[in-house]
Amino acid sequence: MAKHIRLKYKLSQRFEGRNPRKHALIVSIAAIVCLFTLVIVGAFVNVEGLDVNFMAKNNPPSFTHIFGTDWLGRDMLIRTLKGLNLSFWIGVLAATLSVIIAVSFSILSSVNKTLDAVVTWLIDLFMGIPHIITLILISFALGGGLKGVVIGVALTHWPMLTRLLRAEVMQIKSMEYIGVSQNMGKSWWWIGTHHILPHLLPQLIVGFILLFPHAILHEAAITFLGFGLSSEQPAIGIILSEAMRYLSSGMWWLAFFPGFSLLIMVFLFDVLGRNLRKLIDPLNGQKL
Amino acid sequence: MLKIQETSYRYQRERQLFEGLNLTVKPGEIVGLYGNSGMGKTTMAKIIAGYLNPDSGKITVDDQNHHKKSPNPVQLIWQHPEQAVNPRWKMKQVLAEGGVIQKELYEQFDIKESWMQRYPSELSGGELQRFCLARALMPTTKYIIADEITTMLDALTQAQIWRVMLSLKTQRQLGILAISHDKILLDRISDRVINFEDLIKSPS
Repeated sequence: MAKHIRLKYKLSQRFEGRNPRKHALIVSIAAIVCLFTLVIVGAFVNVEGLDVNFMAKNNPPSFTHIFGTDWLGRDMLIRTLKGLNLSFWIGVLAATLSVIIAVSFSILSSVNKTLDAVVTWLIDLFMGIPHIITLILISFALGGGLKGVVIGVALTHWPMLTRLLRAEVMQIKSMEYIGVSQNMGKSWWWIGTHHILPHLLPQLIVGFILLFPHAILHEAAITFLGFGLSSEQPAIGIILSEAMRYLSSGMWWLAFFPGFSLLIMVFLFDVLGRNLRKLIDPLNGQKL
Repeated sequence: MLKIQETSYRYQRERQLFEGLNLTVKPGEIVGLYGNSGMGKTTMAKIIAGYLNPDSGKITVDDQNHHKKSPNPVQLIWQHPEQAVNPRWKMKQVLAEGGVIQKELYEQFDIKESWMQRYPSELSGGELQRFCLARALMPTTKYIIADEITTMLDALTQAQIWRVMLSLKTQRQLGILAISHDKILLDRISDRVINFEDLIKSPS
């Protein structure tokens, strides 16, 4: 009996320390701080290390060059930071454009059945083709470079979010309290901004953040394949594709550290998005 | 006077729900309506309150059609109050949607000040239904369509709500169309009771 009680006590103790909301909040804040540090350091880092220096070429990782140096003697840590910074801003731009497209389409589809059919067809069309193929096509058609990558990523990543938002709008529109609101003489604009938008906002924020990892990875992928950014830009994809040529000669640090940093950044965004969803999703959190 | 004249409605490819339906509710009168399930009572309630458009016929209040832009003088109260309020709004906001909060009205409904800061999920069905009624009773509201508004409540809460409705009826000259399966309740509160079957002239 005494043993049983002790066990129960331990159980309750274990759960007390783990308030899921608090946990999600702390993790989200930690992820935001990490990402901001990454961006700020990337923006203000000393670019002297990027100068060609044949005295220090092909150095493996050491205390002076933590990520090692490449075949031109450039510091890989600084290149990686600059690359991540560029990836971040491409992610911001592409994800913002995607969210704008998704919101406009979900609102359009709520107007009438014909428009809804058009939007659904477009969603199916874009989701039916693998992202990377559409991405290469669009980026190539626009002549590559920053413009091609951003527009390509933005134009391929809206369907998932649009589908989600469209379903959400349709569900809310059929709720009884919308009818009540209409019958009280409220305009569609009033209902849209007071009833529907506050419901969509959490989905929008979470969708925006979860678009980042996709955008960044796809940017790196098409740059790696040679359809994206031009080679003088310090992008992670460029770094990785150049490192390919030196991997066989045993210079593992050229690919390992930049690739690993990219993974960490993507992971941080994913953690942030999933924890924010726990906090503000209408199904989970009511007291925002 | 709330007049429903020669109103017809059918769902697509289904049998006619009703045809040439006529009904009047005078100010300060409670009309009770009962009938079997699935006969179209709620559909009729929705048509009267302007949620649905009838196939033919018209609904007028004091010989005037209602325009969509202004608050409808006919307000419908739903059976499930928890679906009729925005789950993300505090009760204060819910009440404010009906315009200015009339203090004496929510005192009449025994709505406590402390409930105002709560979310709908933190109130019981009876409490929520009183909020819905207080919200619907805007200064412009002349008629209430009460579609099974106390069916899911216990006898005590039911009595409390109808006592307030009866006093509002004389105070504000409110016209009420009470729809329910509960014939005993309707006999008790209504000035006249109608069987929905007698009301609809079914063609078959």
